[in-house]
Amino acid sequence: MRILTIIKRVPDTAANIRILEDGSGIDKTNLNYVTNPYDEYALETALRLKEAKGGQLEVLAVSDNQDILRNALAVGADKAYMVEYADYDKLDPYNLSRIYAEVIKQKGPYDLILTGKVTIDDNSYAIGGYLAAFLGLNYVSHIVSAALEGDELVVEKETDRGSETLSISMPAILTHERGKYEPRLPNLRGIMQAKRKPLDVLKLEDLGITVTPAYEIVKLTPPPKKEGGRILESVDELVEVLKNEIKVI
Amino acid sequence: MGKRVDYRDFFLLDEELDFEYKAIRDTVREFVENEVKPIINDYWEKGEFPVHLIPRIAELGLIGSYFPEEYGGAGLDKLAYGLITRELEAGDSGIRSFVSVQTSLVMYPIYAFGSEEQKKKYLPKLASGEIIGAFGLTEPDAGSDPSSMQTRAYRKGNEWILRGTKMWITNANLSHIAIIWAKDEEGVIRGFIVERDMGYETQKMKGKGSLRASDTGEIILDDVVVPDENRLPKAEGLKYPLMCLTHARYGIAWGAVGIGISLLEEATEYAKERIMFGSPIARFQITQEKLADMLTWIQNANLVVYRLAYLDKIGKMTHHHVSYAKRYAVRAAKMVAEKARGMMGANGIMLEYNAIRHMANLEAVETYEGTYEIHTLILGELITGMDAFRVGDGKK
Ligand SMILES: Cc1cc2nc3c(=O)[nH]c(=O)nc-3n(C[C@H](O)[C@H](O)[C@H](O)COP(=O)(O)OP(=O)(O)OC[C@H]3O[C@@H](n4cnc5c(N)ncnc54)[C@H](O)[C@@H]3O)c2cc1C
Repeated sequence: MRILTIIKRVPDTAANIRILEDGSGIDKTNLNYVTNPYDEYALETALRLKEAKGGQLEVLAVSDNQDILRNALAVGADKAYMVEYADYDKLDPYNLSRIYAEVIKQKGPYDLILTGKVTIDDNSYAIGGYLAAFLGLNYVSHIVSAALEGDELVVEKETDRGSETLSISMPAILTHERGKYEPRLPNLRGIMQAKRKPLDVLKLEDLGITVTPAYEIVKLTPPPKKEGGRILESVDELVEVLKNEIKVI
Repeated sequence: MGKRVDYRDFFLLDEELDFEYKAIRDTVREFVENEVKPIINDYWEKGEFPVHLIPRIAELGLIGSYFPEEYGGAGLDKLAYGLITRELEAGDSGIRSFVSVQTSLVMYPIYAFGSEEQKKKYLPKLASGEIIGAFGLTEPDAGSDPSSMQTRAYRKGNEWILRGTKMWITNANLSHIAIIWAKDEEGVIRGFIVERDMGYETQKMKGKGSLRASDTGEIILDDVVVPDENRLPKAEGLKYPLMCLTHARYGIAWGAVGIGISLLEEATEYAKERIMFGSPIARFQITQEKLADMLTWIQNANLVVYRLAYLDKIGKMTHHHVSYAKRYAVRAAKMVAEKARGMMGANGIMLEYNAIRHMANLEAVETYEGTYEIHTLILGELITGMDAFRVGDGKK
């Protein structure tokens, strides 16, 4: 089985994001980057499938920095591709998906493609849908786990009507919700082995595609500050506020 | 516009690290955040080492990182080992002590002074955490001066009879093997790999007010019979246990930096949030002076340990460099701890925060592996050429 996991480099979820004064983007000095958290769940599921059934696990990112790919190799992926693109963080999901699709066409075929349900930097949920359409793949979004039962791929997803267990035929693409299991940390041996694993850097020209961004970010403004709490003097005042101001009692 | 400055890595030392080192640092950091910090206060309060972490520590490859892969290590250098100990000790000194002892005081002597059979037999199992080791040098009446040890090794044909008591021994009660240092009949110090079932007894040392999440105990050797094949063939003399200490002290110096950074971080957050006299206490100049001092002490120590790693890489690190670093970094961390604890007021004495635990731990860290005074004398001797360890004829 050949699996591909698509990952994206995003600012650390714990980082305090500062917006440049002119609103042209975020301040990147000393900013820490991580793998998009949902992509990490996708990678964890991919690793588990590989460990259970054997096969080859590859990872793909469009970026100007190899760190997240090396991390993926350190936790157990076999091969990585980086499509070099400096402004990857500003690229719209349609064009990003075109690049992913082109790599998949040229480097595939893959039995299974996994990625996060959303990338937290641009809050777009679009990649899974675009890729399924471009490549004509079966598609399940927001999964929490996946396993192979015989040759059958069985995935779970949480919905308002309950936990669904679905059987899906491959080739397929799955997008990951927060998973049922936590992504693993790389161990020291894995980190050292990652050095010797192949990481191919591809250019758009090599892939033979050109990208015309669908949109550009005109202005970035910080989210509104959370309003501070209010200290009330007495229980009577609290009752008064709850009754007449917020109207919950 | 002011650039964002990372006060945890003020001189951007980590920024120059290759990917592998950053990844190692981040692995240990995440392990500490997710698996050590949430539980450590409870274990500290109970006075127990969290043994459930041993398989995790081993699985992540944190034991014996600087030994070759054929012996279960990760084949890394001392910079990686330094980063591991720094990040572990930001969690708790007890966790770092566990790794230091297992790596530098148990695996190192077997690796450096042991036979090929001994290496093959013990090192992989020590690295995988399957067996735990202890290092028995200190005795009730032989601390700073290990040459005065009373433990004896009597040779009987192909065996040795070990008799004596070791005290203050980290991992003693958890141990499956102990590296025991004893004097033979000629007064030469020798090292032995003593297995638990050869008959040594251990006794937990209770009532510690420091390093409570570490296992400390006595090792009692009551005529324990050890085959000659368990003697470390290349260790004859005091120099050999001291060589082990050099490696462990190296990690302690890095660890102290970890404590300092963790304290600075906690105190800074606290000072920004805590309102007194209408302002966050961080706005007061006295608080800012404390924070500036803390930053300076700990970043200076970080510069020193980074330099130490570099000296090791080029083969120029001496035990004097290590004494300097252990002495300075631990003292710097103690000074930071005092400020941090005070800045947090009454909360500063609560175990729910880290300050008081780190502060208490630092007392043991300053005492073991050569006290502050002993390292002062080592440097004093280097500078003056005069040994001041012994007064007069060294008799009472
Ligand atoms: C938690 C903990 C874990 C430990 N783990 C281990 C272990 O795993 N293995 C092991 O072998 N040991 C271990 N030790 C022992 C440790 O190394 C000793 O405690 C240390 O060497 C000091 O010895 P001592 O306690 O006997 O103090 P002493 O040597 O009695 O010193 C008492 C005081 O006198 C000072 N002093 C001594 N000589 C001089 C001098 N010449 N000039 C000026 N001042 C002097 C010292 O600096 C100190 O302040 C551990 C200790 C602790 C607290």
